[in-house]
Amino acid sequence: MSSVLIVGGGITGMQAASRLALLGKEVVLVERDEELGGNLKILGATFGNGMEAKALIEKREKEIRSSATAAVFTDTEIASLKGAYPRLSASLKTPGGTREVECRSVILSTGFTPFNPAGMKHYGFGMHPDVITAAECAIKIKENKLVRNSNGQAPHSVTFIQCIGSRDLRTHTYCSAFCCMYAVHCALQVKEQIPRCRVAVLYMDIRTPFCAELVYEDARRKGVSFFRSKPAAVRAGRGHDHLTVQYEDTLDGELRFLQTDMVVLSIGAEPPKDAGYLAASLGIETGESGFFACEPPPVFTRAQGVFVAGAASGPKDIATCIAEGSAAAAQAAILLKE
Amino acid sequence: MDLRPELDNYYGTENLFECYQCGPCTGGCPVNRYLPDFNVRAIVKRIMDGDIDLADRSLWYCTTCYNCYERCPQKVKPLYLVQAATNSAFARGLAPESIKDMNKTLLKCGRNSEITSVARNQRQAFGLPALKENVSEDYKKIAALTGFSKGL
Repeated sequence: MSSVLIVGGGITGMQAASRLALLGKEVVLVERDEELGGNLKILGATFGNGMEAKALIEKREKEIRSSATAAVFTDTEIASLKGAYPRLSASLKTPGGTREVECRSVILSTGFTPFNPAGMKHYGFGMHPDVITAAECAIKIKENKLVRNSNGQAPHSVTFIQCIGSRDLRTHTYCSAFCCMYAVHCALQVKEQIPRCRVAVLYMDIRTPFCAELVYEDARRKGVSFFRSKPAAVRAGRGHDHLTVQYEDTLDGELRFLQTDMVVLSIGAEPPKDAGYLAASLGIETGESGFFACEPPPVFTRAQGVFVAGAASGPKDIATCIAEGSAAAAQAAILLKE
Repeated sequence: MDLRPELDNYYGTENLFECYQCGPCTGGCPVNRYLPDFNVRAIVKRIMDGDIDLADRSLWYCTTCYNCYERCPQKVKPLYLVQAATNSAFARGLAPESIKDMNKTLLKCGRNSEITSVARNQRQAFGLPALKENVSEDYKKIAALTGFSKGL
């Protein structure tokens, strides 16, 4: 019987697994994707300290893989999860067939799913190739190939639109917490890669807490324009060689038309689709947002021996996810001592 | 003028305090594009603050195109708030003279413009039947029941 089952091999799950492995506890890490890393895989440099996402993942993966007590199952889904602390049993659907795993406690680090802005037709998403999501933009920046999809040339101007699928009664009412940070970060990186590019961020409220505020100030200093507005529409210009963003600058009440080569939609986070199923099988609750409910925050749940870490309990930035991964690992280790 | 205590009397105003003041309402407003005086977001703000000027002519510029209604992320229904303001202004007799005149005509002859001799002749030339001259009886009954005449 192993000690802890960790569901989700993103940065949070990897952090928890590596900490528990370090303590010599038996850990089973289950990841749906073929590789570990989760949503972090698409990123280049991460926010704040600028450490490469790849290095961040590789460091933890090495720790886990080199441990004798940690087992990693990639390309694997949880078929069923039964029982309660201290006897839980999970049936895993691995590429090599079904596998039963018994454990004492569970850490849910299922993370988030990026919001799909397919319904955002008024922003031209899916209708114009130059309207992309922030995830696509991050991949372009990472590969140092920041070009327009329509003609393969570097853009002269890039506009970020904030709060896509967040703070919206029609989609998700909660704030996705990290969009402002990555948008400011991406805007700075665009400025670095193409110094003459005009970069604008259209925001409802800039929410960059703690040291992120310094990055925001840095972006303002380096010439990124910030306009307080949620645009009404994005239209293709004449001859489709540029896009026009129609918005009201709410700080001076003027209607403006911003011509831009590329529009980046700062998409928010959604709960993973099987969060409800996992919660029901473990006897815990999901909140109004669909993410797991913490009682008390940050890592405990209603059920003993079931911990929630990282973005599984709501959108969070990387630093918080890593901290919560460690916290959940520590709490699980305390339980194992009893 | 504080409109908040009487908002319950008007349809579709329950989400007023969900407003983020984010601006797609004004950004997509066809009237604001040509008449910047009419700013839906600012009207919602003034209603929220309890400081709306009901005698403001610009309230009446709304074309009820429903763009703000469609684009609002918070389902504030700015259109209905503007309508609440105009309804309230009319009930207090604060509507512009042009609106009052139109409604007086409605009560007088049952149409919002009087039938002119040009229209009469044109209909005759086209072989259309003549319009009924006085159809205002029903309007007068409705006006008496709803207190409509008080606004004139």
